[in-house]
Amino acid sequence: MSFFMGISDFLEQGRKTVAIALVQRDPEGWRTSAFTEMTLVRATRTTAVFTSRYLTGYGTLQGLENTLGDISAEIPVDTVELRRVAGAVTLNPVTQLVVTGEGSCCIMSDQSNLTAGTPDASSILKQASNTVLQPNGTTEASPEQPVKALSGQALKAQKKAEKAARRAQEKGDATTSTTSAATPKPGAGSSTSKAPNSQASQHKRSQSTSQKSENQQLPVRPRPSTAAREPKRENKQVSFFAHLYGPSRRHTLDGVPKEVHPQIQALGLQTSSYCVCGSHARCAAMLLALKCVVQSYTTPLGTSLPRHLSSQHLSPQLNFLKSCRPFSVSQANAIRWLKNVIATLDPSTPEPTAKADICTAIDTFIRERLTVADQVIAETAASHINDGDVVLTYAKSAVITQALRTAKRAGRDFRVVVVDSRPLFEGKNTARALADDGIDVSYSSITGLTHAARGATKCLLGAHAVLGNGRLYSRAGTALVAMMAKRMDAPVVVCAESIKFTERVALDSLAMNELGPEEELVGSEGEGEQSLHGWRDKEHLQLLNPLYDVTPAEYIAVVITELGSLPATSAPVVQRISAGAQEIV
Amino acid sequence: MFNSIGPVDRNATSPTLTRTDQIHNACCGTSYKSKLGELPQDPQGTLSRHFSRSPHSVRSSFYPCYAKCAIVLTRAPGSLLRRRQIQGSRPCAIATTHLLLQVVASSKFKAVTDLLNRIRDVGRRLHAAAPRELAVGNIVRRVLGLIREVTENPSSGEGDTVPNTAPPTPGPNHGLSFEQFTTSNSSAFSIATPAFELSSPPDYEANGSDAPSMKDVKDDVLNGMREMLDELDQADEQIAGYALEHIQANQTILTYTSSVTAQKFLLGAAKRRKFTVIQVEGYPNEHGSTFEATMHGKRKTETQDGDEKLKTLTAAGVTVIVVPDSAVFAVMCRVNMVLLPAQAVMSNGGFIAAAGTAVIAEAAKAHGVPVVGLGAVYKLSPLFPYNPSSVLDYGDSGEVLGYDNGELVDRVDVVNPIHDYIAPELVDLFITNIGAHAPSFMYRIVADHYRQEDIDL
Repeated sequence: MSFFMGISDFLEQGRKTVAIALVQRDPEGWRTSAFTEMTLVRATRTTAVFTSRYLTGYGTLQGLENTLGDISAEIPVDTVELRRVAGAVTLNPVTQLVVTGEGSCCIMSDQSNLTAGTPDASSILKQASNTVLQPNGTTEASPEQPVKALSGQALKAQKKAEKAARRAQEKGDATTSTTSAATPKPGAGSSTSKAPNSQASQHKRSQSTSQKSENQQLPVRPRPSTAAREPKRENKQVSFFAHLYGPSRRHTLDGVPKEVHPQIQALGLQTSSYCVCGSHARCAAMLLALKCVVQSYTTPLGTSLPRHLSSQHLSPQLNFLKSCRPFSVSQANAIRWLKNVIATLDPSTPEPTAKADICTAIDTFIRERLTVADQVIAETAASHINDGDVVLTYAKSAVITQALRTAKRAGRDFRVVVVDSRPLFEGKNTARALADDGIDVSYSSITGLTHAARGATKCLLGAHAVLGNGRLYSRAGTALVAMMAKRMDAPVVVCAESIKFTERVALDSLAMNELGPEEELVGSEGEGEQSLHGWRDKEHLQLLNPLYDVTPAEYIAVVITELGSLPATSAPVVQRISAGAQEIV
Repeated sequence: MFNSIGPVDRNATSPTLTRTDQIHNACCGTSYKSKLGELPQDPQGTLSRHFSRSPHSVRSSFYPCYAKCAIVLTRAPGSLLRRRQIQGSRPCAIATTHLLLQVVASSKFKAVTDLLNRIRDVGRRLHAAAPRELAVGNIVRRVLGLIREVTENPSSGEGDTVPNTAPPTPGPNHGLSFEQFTTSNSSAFSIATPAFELSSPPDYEANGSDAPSMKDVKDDVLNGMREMLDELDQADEQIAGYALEHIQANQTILTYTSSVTAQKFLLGAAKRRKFTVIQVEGYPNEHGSTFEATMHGKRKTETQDGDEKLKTLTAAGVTVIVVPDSAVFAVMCRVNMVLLPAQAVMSNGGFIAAAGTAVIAEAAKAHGVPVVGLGAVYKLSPLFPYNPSSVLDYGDSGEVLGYDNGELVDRVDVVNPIHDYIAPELVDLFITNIGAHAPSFMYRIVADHYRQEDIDL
């Protein structure tokens, strides 16, 4: 993962070194076992050759301590082969590490001993062994090239790798003493230290020929994520949520289309791991990342920016983001707006001007629809808070936190009850932020809600979206808090920017929702029997982790938007104004 | 927990045990033997029955922890309860019954009022030790009621055949519930069954003295208390017996926490029906035991062999969906019935249960989903919850906000309630071991089981 982030960064930014993580397969899964800093030797359009003197942090790689030496990496950065035949890292003299695009690594302490993780790792290994990357770093090519055994793409990659490696070898011999010092001649196999290596190389050769037929059967484009999955298991989908199960959330960068911008890649992983979480934050982060995409965009010949950018260039970016986590309503609204902005550009505008216009529009949008909107809402909401109030709030909402801080700064004396729930515990952030501002905070889990809600005089809730029928679509648990607040006669105040309004409607939480990974509910390892470890092996046991729920409109007293405060059922009004404003901005 | 203090207590209390024995033997041996001659019935049989059943059988049937509890309690009343080393309404009820059994068995009394006072005194101390564990007070009240009933309807020496053959299923007062219901008040206790009316009064008067009556009272009370223990043992099975009436095929049942009662109820229905259970996890106090019950089966901790486990619901063919507490509202629209195990039931039909239950009941109400409470009769408290928060307990706040959160812990107030009060209007049905009742009828069941004069301990 970090490997390819590094490579892309490297190529984009012209950096001279790149960090490469070597990942090893454990019984538990993939584990990062070594990091190395690789220096560029030479990069062509298709190939980057790296060398490194040091392999750092490899203490977990057993038996490699004595093999510290030069590492040269052969990484074809050709578009397709970047992910498939990522390259090989040789660890002189006895260990060969093959880094594949899946962020996985094949460690070959000698040719016979493979800890292959992914199915195509072995083919890469064979390719490597057939070409340049002998364990001792020689450039000797195998006499029997398994040319016929390889498919066209693999062959192409192999040739490229071979050629590049040969060049690298020449260059290394000529210029860098590091590589030449670590590149013994094949004849030096007579020395004691090299004796096993020559055996190994012979063995390798025989292995490569014997495995030719296997090569034939190897898929050209394997899907390692599915291939590595364990045998078919019972369907763990909860039947009445079955329509919400999509492809599982992406947590890695394997199989990322080449067009996806590194910023988008980074954001995708951040959203899938909840580093960037919340409707507002995800929308802003996405817009900023898309701004970078636009800035680094060049219009191909024969087309114009308005025609090409949104349809051709942005869609793979957005698809990638979507595969990391489905879009929030605010993100969807922002994308609709952005596409509209691009589509209405004059095709005759010169590219730099057009790009600058788009970036300015994005900045304006973020400022007006998110930043200033939040300020306006926070001011309005703060004006609802009086001295002596007990404000009930749930999980985390940036605008609620801001509103409470604003009220505190305005000198109001009130208390906040933060209700929180598993598995995200977002309320801890709220509690921390409010406590930092000197607000009297109490923190409760949602099971203690009846106690927490007792004495509450206001309930401030953030929104993920406000639906067309006035219902509030927000973090799972919000409906319970709103219900209890209503029961305790505390008015429920919802703060939502107009960008969060959608014309979609839902009557219950099943119609639209997002299901989080079930593993979030399993519990920590240390709890032993008191956790759900191994739940997938239990027949008839299912876990359900809905991220949102829908709060009925009758629980909501008022919705505060930057356009004004209104009853929840008037949501379509805001949505219309908001959609209209999008066209104007 | 018991193991940690085990050796100390065992050493410390073994003399007490022997002393209790001595007291008991002295009591039974001397006072009873001296009156042997006066007994018109077969004295040998009575005595042997008494010895075979009372102290030894009681002790052998003692679970170690309860024995210890009883011993510790007699020395320093309620310290185990106070330290919450006995927790949960069923363990508390069983421990209290065992303790009172010993108190009754070992006490010398000239008049019934002495015994009543003695029991009430112990009861007060137990109640003071665990004021929020209502089952303790319930048992004490029932024992008091039992003593009153026995004295009002003395069964005499011939009663010795009655307890042995009597089916252990109903509570001691259970047989009277119908008469009570029809006659409306505690005067109903004066209406005895014909068998008693015919046999007991002549015997009672034939002796012409109080002594045998005291002995018989004691005998009957002990038998009645043993029946109470049987009832405690069987309550969960009896409740589970009603499961098939309430759970139909393909229903979705939402349940909370993993009480033995609820697990047995669901397992009872699973024998014949296929249905789905949505198990709400109950973070932070209940999720561990819930997960354990879901994955490995509920441990019947209060039984003699602590490792014995119930079958998991999934093993019984029930589809179990574990959801976080926050998802209750989201899934409620697909739920047919909410099953909530109670820790204590109040006379107004409201009940006390694990924290989070009230929110679930509210959500069910909002969706029009029927809420069914589960609880055996021993959980029925004659108290009216004018101020429910007085019986709600609080737990370790570190469970809610762990100390690994650093400075945050110092800056925010954290409360960890472990009980909720669920108002009767949120409950649609209450299933006890003697049947299913509307919450508004619970006061009547309460009236059947407790005497008005015992409600204030």
